Amino acid sequence: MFKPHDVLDPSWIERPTTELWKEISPLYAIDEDTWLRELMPLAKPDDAELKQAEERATRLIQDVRADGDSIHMIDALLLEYSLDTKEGILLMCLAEALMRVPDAETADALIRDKLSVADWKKHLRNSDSLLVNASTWGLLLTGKVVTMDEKEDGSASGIINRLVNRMSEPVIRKAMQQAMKIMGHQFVLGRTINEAMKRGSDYRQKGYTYSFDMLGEAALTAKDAQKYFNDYLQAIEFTGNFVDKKAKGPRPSISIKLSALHPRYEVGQEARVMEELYNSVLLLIKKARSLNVAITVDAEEMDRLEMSLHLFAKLYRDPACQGWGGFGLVVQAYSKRALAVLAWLAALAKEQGDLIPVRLVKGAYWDSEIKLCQQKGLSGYPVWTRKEATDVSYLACARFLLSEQIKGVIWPQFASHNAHTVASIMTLAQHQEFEFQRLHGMGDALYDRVIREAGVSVRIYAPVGSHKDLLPYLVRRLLENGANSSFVHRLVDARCPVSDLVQHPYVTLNQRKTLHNPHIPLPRAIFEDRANSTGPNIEIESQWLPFSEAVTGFSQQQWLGRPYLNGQAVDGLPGHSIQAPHDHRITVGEVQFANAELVNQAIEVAAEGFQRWNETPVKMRADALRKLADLLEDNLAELCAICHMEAGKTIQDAIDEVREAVDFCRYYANQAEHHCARPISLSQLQGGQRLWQRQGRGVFVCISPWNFPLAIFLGQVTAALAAGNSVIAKPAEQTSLIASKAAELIYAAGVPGNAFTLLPGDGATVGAPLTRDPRIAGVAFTGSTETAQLINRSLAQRDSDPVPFIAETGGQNAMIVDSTALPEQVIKDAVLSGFASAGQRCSALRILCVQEDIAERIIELLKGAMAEQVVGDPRLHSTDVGPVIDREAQAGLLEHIEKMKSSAHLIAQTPLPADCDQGTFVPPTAFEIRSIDELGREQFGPIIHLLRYKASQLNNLIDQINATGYGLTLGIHSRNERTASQIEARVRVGNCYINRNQIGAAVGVQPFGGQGLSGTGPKAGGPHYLMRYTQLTPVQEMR
Amino acid sequence: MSTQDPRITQAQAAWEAWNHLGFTKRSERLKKLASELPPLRDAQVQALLRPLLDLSITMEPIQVMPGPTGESNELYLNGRGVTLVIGDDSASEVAFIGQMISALACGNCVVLQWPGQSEWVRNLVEKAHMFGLPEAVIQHLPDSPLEHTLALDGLAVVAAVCTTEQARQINRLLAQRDGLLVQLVCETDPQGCSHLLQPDHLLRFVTERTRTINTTAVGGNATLLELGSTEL
Repeated sequence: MFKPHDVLDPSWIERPTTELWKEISPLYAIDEDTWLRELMPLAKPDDAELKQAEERATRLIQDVRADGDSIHMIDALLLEYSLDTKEGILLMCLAEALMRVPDAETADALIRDKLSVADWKKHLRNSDSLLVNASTWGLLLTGKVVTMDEKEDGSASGIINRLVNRMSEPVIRKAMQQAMKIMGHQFVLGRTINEAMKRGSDYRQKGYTYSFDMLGEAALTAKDAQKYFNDYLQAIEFTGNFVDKKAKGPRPSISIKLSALHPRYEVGQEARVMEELYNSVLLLIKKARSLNVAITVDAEEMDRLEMSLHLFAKLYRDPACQGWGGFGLVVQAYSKRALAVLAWLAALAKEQGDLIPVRLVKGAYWDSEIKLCQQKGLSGYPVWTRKEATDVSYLACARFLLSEQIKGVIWPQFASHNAHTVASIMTLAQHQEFEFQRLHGMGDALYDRVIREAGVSVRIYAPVGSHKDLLPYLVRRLLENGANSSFVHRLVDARCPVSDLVQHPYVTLNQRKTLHNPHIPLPRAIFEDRANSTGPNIEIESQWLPFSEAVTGFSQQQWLGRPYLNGQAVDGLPGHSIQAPHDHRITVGEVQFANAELVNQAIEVAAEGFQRWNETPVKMRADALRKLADLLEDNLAELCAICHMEAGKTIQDAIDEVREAVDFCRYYANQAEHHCARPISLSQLQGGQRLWQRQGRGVFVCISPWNFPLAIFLGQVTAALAAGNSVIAKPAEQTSLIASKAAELIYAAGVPGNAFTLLPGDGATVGAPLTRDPRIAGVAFTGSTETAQLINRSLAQRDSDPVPFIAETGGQNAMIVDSTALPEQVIKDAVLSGFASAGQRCSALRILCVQEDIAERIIELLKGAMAEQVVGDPRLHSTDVGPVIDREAQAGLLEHIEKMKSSAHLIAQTPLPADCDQGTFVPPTAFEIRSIDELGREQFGPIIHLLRYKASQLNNLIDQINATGYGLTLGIHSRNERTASQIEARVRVGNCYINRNQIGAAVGVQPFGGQGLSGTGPKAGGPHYLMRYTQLTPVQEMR
Repeated sequence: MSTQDPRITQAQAAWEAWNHLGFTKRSERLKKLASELPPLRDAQVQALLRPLLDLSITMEPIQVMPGPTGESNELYLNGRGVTLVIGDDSASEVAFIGQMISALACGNCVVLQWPGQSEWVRNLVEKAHMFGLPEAVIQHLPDSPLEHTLALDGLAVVAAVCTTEQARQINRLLAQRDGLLVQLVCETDPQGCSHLLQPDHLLRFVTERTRTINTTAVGGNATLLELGSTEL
């Protein structure tokens, strides 16, 4: 690990870029305290710097405050549109969606919803509000969570009445839309580059210059990417040809978003990015260079940083760029890798000899970075968890960028609206070879003074585009500003003491008890009572490479699947060869299936083993499962390799599979201790109390499916074991190898041989005799509804009392999308929900129900996004969709597709690469249907059926969904809280997901399971599940 | 013989509203009923119903699940649908009422059948209607052969008070049905009601629902942003 102070040594950037590159990735999730201790000395001001920066900042703030004209733009927004008032917040919440709603009916409903949410106060109190997250606005705009002023009447209806009494609904709609346009005018420099250039004239005369950004989010389709490309090209041409004789500042430049220029700007698609996107950007560079318009590559999420740098270097080194010095990029100081990236960039520039303009920002996606890491169970965060740590990092980077050896190598562009940051930069700078940057609409008063007094260039980052595209930009800008603790707002708030605004972040951070933020637990520690399962981030080189190498180490491995009885593998049974689903020429191993004799022996062994295991202290049982969790994590690479080769799972699916299994182990271990540790006292009808002990029921049979061959397998098994049962597990025939590996780990974790038995085999030989045996005390099953019926009948035919039958079966899962939804978000979630894991998830999306008013746009995006899906070898990072499990599954799905081709409208079908003919692949396919009745039984594969509905017939749609009898998952995309709530309440499903995808339920977070034809309950990974594996026994009757 | 019964169809139609009342409101109504309806005022019945209804109230709160920031995850309980409460010769009034109240409290509509005790059941249902329970929520199902009753469409749960032998028979008959797996909840201790008094009992009458909301879909994560500026 390099030492931050090393970068001040001029020889440091003389080192080869290949060497400096190696310093970047390991810092991705480095321990925050460790790295901050290294970094802080670089930001530490000496006494003179501290004093000078403070005085300068104080002067700036006092000057700004003394200027009556300083309240500008965002402040004007606060005042003009009263965003710190109830009305303002409600209006802002509407803004995100209203402009894109095409139909008046839904627009009016959205307005009603936002102005009359009955429990609005509750949402504000809780901060994380349903859908609108209203308090975000309050936080961003006032620097603290807004609490509703209760003086007037404290109720939402009061607000509504004041508004509604004034205006009737259509008038409100028009007023709202007008308000949005006015607001857009404040934040967008122009709807076109032409308009933007005209509006910017006054500022250019003051000495400002511009970097124009074309509004828009990441492209999902090639068509959208082309549109953005055209926009950028046009902007470059216009900017390059525009002559402004009155302008005093440098020439304007263009900022580009790489994710807008390619539909798959993702690490998994890096090969395409380095070819296709490279070519696109190169065209822009050539045009820009010919017209002397500099280009800056905007920053994206942390996962894409390394790929962005790869692409940047390739473009920078291209002859088209050599000798130019106008191609730059943005570096985010909230990244732990920021300084290492800057050092590498400096070496790159030094190597080639061309200046690299670098905009240093604090970072705009902080909260989503934190969320993503927690969801993925990563080892740490790529960003600092304290605002002041980001500020410290910013100043450490600034010291480097302003150091003598960087002159002529990097052109620093410091972007900040924080007066102290600006003052610190000016203090650190011993020369003027840098510039400041600010956002259009923000920081006017501050930078007017900087230009006037310091003579440093200031560039305004100015969005250009339609009002419809504004809000995502605005939200991000406000979030960014929020990360600055709303400095802009506090700057003009005379009540905020200047001394609070001018403390050096180094001093502030040093005053904290810990350098990291104790309120933001590491991803592994987000649960109070158990460790979150962990996994590598496959988008990050330092994590991906060792993981990939470890998995590849098993590429030639042949696994042996066989029964395990009494803790010993049973050999000598006939073997069946196992082929990889993605390529049947590859033999993965062999499995030996149990026979009838072994089934009988297994029941005897398990029956013997029950008593001892049941009497084992629950803590010991729980600890064995915790040990199993650790062993699973230790064996992640091999388990992932088996998932690829036996089950056809893609890389992230394989990691998630193991993580889920780990979570089950730890969750049920805790649940067992919670429920079984001590007797409970229950009332008796005849009076008095009696003690009862919760314990195992006997021999439990666990029959698991192939689609989650480790997670569901171990979910059932660990719940049953934790409760004190002995277990006989019958894995799916298709996935017996991973079950055998899991069996070894179960024993290694300390589960006695006679408490767990593994019986690979088919349903007729193994499943049927198990479920008809009267010694069986319960069955857990996940699979088809039809098989569940058979097992239920088999159990009922026994000459014994009814026993628990926990069945989790299929679904006919819908997603309902109304016209307030953001189409791009819908498509991302629908494609993932429908096609991830080749659609072989119980929760997968089958019916995409779209309000007719936006159906055409959704279909267009769906077609485009499906064209970008990659089907193929699940071991490759580039693969989105792997094979289906076997030929039988493939044949059934292809038959359905053929049938639908004649009866429904084919929307799109992702083409299969040529090498897919060696495996069992099914192309992701989407049809438009007219009625849910056309569907028939569940199709367990990558097939989405789109259904249009009229807004007025939403209830009929819900009735149709309910009429299928299935009830597993439901997705809802709507910005109308009331609509979402009504749908959720009426659709009879087990798991409902709002404004996100509908797959990937996390253990203990989203307990999973359905109702009706989709299962019996209780939900796996939920607080009631384990109890179903137990019985309550009077204490005196216990031995 | 038809497997359709209009009473069950009516009960299905009434289920949504009854279920959406929530555990607390339903239990309050049932407590009131228990205090006024003669068969329910029996001391032993009261001794059973009190803990059952108290327990059912505890099932009302939505359970907030822990998880990553920027997402709201909640778990809550719903009734399963229509419950057939059935008794055999061994059944007791107290256990039969216990099963009925358990099903109702958990948000299910009930149809009641107790061969040989039809009059008592009819009387019970009539009084329940008089005391304000909606007609479709609690109905009497006239005696019919067990095979026929258990084959009726639209049942989600069968709550039986019976012998263990009868329980096996009911289980077999239910297993012959197509469609969803009907849950069988038996009380085979009609005098002691030991099963009814167990904490797991009511859980058999409910289905769990999880609601997950991406709270950052529109903007950012307010809670997290607030934490990022913590002064500790």
